[in-house]
Amino acid sequence: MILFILTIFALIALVDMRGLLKKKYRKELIVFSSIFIIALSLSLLLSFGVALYSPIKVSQYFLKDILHLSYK
Amino acid sequence: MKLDNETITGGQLTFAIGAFILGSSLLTSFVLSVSAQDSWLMVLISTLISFLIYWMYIVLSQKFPGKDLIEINDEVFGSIVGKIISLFYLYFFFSLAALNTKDVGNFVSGYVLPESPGPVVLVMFVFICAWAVRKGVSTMLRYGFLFTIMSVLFLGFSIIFLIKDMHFGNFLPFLHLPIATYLQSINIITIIPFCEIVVFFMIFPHIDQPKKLKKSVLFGLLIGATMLFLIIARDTAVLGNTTNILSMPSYESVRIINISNVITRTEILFAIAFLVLLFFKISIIYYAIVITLARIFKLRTYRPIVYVTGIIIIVYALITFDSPMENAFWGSNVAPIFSSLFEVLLPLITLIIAQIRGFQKPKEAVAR
Amino acid sequence: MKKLTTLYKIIAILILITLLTGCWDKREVDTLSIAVGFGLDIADGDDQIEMTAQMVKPSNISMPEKSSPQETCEAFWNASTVGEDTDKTIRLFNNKMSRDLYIADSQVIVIGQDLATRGIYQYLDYFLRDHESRLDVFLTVCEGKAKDIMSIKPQTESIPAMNIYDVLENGHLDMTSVSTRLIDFASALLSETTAPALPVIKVQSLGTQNAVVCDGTAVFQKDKLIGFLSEEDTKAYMWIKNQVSSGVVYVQMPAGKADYEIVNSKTKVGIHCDKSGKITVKVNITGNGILSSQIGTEDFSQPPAVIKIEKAVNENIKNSILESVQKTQQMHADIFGFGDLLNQKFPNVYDKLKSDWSSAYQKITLDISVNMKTRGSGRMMKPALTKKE
Repeated sequence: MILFILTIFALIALVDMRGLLKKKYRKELIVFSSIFIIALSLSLLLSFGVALYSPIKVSQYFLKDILHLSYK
Repeated sequence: MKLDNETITGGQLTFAIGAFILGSSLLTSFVLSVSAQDSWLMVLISTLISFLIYWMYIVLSQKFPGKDLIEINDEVFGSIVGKIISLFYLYFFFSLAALNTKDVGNFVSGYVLPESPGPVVLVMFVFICAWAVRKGVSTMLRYGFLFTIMSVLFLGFSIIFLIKDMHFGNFLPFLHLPIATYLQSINIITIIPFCEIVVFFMIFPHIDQPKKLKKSVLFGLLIGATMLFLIIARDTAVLGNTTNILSMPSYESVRIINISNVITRTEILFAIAFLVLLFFKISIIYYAIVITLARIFKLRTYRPIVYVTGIIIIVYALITFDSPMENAFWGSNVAPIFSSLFEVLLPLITLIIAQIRGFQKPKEAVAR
Repeated sequence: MKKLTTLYKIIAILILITLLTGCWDKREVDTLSIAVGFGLDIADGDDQIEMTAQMVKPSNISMPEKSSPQETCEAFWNASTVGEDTDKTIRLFNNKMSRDLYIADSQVIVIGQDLATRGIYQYLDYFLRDHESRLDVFLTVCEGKAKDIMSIKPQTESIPAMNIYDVLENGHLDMTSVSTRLIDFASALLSETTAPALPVIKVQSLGTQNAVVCDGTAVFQKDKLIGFLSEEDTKAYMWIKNQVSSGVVYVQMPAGKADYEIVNSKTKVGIHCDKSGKITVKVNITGNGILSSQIGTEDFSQPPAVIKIEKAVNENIKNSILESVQKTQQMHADIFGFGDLLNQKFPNVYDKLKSDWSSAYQKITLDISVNMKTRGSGRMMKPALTKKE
């Protein structure tokens, strides 16, 4: 699974980075790299079995338990 | 500032909205488990309410022609508060994409490929969506027409083949449930199939003739609402009181089709329609996410960030809920409130502030 | 650069093709054991059931009976396993056989009489939840053990389960059985007032061979068997449920006997509740029939006699319906769904009565009107022999 993830990320890097480097889009490169790193770390964490906090559950907790705004 | 130079026609927009609403209509268990036999009436009432909400969207969009939601936020609220509000929208779009992808994953893992690892299925699905998004808006919306017609045909066939299994007594007793369930049901239908159109705010600026926006959008609502009405009516008539307990009523009612033992097992067509329509829906939400990111960071092109955003969507989809039961609970009970904040409240506030600050519909800017 | 993009596209397509085959879920047909019918019985241990699965041997379906006695060319085989509930038992099947059990093709689920008295929903829940099973399998109760009925080899069909399916499905042609699907049973269980009813099958000997016939209806209270209705009462059940498509009514009159064949019929059931809370069910049956045979002193093809026959037929149907409804009232079982009908038309009254429906059900009166029109008298106008005293 980890190998699978690393292959995919390598492919994405190859495909997208080449275009950006050629056109010398600095800002795009920075944004791309940061999102790339975020995605890479999240997926690696997930494949290692780390339980990530789901943002939706945060909202659900907020709306249901704190504000008591849900239907049930 | 345009991120790409694509234009779409009004007709494409109409069918895109129709297909989008249809995509949400295939999971009717959220509604049917709440208001059972009166759901068809709830659809009609919600259509009228959504009509008003769509009107609000159109007015807001036409006040700022050629600008999508993020730019509107920046103009109305100022650049800092506008960015914060856009971040809220980003969170909402991400959640929408993750929930819908999770639905696809649940369906495929539950019914079609139970043994395959969930992430692999999602990766393949999201990859195709990503490819579509990279190709651009007009490429994506071109297929709206095809998908809508396909679904209409399938719906028509299923209704004709199910006529012999329909019992119209299943629609009674009429209006006998507590009022709270009706309000909840109207809320659910207005929010989930109809008003997720808010993502189309990122696509409205691409229309070639802005005057046609109103007609196209409202016509799209009409198509989607009619189909949803027919789907819910068909399911209630065929399944009777079992609609409340089934997890996918439309799938089961299509399974019952049995014409002289020749036309059976047509549920495969339902599965195909489901996957295709959800692909369309997720692609559009995906596009909205990518454009939002590009605007927030003021990029010149959105193409490079498509694949990596896709990975984040997949990860998010995998961690949203632990089980389909939680998903169903969310859909019936919390989602109506959560989504209405972003689909109704925020745009309404934006519109009001825009009105107060005196943004009039700009005249034809020829004199500049 | 162009070459590189095509290379990427090819790589992407190759990866997709490999993944899309769905290797994890491959199920080759020859690794599956297709079950066409299930039987559930009480087993000797306490709280255990014996499940019989009837599986096809596809290669043997079209082979003719061989004359050599050692070869058994049956197209099916039965396997029985004992377990605590349905899910565990099916897994035991998979453990014992070389092929996995495939339940999506199952046509019937036969439930032994003894097991039915214990309560069957706990065993059926698996079939309702599992994605592979179909919701339109036929359910039926059998006299004796389901295992035995499923071994009866029919004459015209090669597989007993298909035979049972045909018997149940064709029940509406001679008014013997109301074929009930799994989803209909679930729907009846969900309703707070309806008592489910399933057809009963039993073995009857037709000369030298045994055959499976449908005989009456089993009446349930929630999911426990509480009684039976005879064949006559089953006919009334079918009349009310509008499931009669053909059948024969036998009338006996002072002037002789006549058999009246129903060609088509339509039943409309309505419910009426007046101010004092008295509930009346109006049943209106219309249809066409043919005089199919007669013997007697009178020539029944003359118009006045035809009217006499029609009247007799109408009376006959009316009385049989009244009798069966009274029987179910004594059993406290509303198998006709009158409670649900009341809920549809008068939900407020229903809400008041539903907690004690069995006593409210006993007070229901019927108002039946039958109107059969004779379409013809067959090939002959006059009988060849009229018995004159």
